[in-house]
Amino acid sequence: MEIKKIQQLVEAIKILPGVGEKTASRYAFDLIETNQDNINLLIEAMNAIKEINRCSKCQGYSEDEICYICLDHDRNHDKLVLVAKAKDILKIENVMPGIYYYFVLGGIIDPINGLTEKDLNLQLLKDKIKDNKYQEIVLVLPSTNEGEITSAYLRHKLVEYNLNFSKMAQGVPVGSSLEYLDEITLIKSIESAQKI
Amino acid sequence: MIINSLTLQNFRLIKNQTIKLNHFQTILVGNNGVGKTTIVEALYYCCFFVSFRTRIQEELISIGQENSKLAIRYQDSRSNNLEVMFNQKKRNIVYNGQNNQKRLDTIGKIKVLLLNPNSDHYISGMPKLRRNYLDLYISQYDYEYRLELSKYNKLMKQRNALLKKSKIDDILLQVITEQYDQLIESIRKTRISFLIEVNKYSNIIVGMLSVGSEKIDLQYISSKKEKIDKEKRYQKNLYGLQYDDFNILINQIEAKKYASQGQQRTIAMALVLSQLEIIYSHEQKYPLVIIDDVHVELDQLRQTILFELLDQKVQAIFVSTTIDNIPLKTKQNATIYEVIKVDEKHSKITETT
Ligand SMILES: [Zn+2]
Repeated sequence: MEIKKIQQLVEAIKILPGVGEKTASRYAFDLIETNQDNINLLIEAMNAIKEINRCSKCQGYSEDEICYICLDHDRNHDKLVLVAKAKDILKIENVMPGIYYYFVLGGIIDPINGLTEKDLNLQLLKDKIKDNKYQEIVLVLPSTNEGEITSAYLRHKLVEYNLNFSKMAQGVPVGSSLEYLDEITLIKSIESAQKI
Repeated sequence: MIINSLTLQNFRLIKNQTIKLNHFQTILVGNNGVGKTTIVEALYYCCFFVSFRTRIQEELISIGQENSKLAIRYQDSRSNNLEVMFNQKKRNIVYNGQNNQKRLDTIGKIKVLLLNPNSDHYISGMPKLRRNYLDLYISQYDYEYRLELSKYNKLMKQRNALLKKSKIDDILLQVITEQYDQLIESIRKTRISFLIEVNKYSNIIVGMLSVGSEKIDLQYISSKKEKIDKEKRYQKNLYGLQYDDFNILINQIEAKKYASQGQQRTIAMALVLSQLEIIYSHEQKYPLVIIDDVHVELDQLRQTILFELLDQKVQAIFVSTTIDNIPLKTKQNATIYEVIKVDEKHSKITETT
């Protein structure tokens, strides 16, 4: 009976990306050994995950219907920063808080892995652009083939709004994703985004 | 570029050996099947990080072993150290002490030309072999080309995957097609100017080998762009670099169909050896030339020319079943190794004097 519960815990931990049987078992035994207070902390945090939703305007993380960024009127109204994943917003806000508005595409186009234009939040993006008077879209996407396909596709799809497009400046190594950029490189490459 | 030594550990039949290479000529002798080509394969692998004998990396690891390692010490403007360690799952390329180097960044650090009996297939074989010839030899000195080629291969798969979808967004297909076409154009341009260079040097070599009576022409063949509707129907790419080829003419006629065995060998030699000057013109250094069992079938005159051609300036390795068919002059100055089988699973390399 008890062993079954340990296995259940191991299986649950394996949900995390990059965690295999071995690591999961180690975590599981560490958790079993840790004190009750820590376990309660974890349970509480886990439960709170259910309250982390997506902002209906930008698709970023939010506890409410609309996130604090979209509600903040004191940001640069000319620019909309487009990112692939919600966590990218956190990364940018960390190093340059309070400057931009964002929109989360939800991914990038990658047909080999089954991701096409249907997997982008395109209609919501159009809504956000219509509701605001952005002049420029800053594309903060991975500098991979897939990132380039996605940005070329968006430029075609948003042509009716007469927007300028710019993308992160040089300095982003080919194929690198946002999470591996150091802070200074990230700030530089967004601030000096170049027109495309 | 001079390769000083090669170390093989658990690589096919070799357990753990280091061989020093002569700065000019090294000769490897041994019976068939003892592992001479293994040494050639090891050098080739350190240049391209693929084998010419197998696509399965596992096969390179000695039976019963988990990890293989190859190491090369070489010098160009400085002394360098290139190591490749691999097992079934992982590969680590270490360049001058730096771990985990990317294949794209490390290809061509050491440069190798390989001429073996299979080189004849460049003339008589499938188009894929000729594309391989282009890609490998251009990649050795052209980093941009490697980058574009790797981008292209990925994009080709993306486009193929998109064409398989039941409902295709036309704008997305158009966007991908534009990028696809741009890369095709750019890569073709590089390939075509490369072939012009090969053509030039090949004729010099053919001229030497055939006493001036033969002329070859190389013509790049681009696959024709297909209508997108047709591609949608077939649900796959119907054009692109993977359908390209090049035509080899000897005295205006198609070598693939009409060249004699001897002529094919001459052309193969020209295609490979022309890289000597091409690489030199790009990098001011000569590659290592490996002649694996090719000189044997040449007549006396062409054999002499081949050895003369290499004698003057480059580092070369000759692989042969017997020392008898190597010219005396070469033998006198070369370092000679004998490869022998010690048991079913192991071979040994020993220097002979
Ligand atoms: Zn929001």
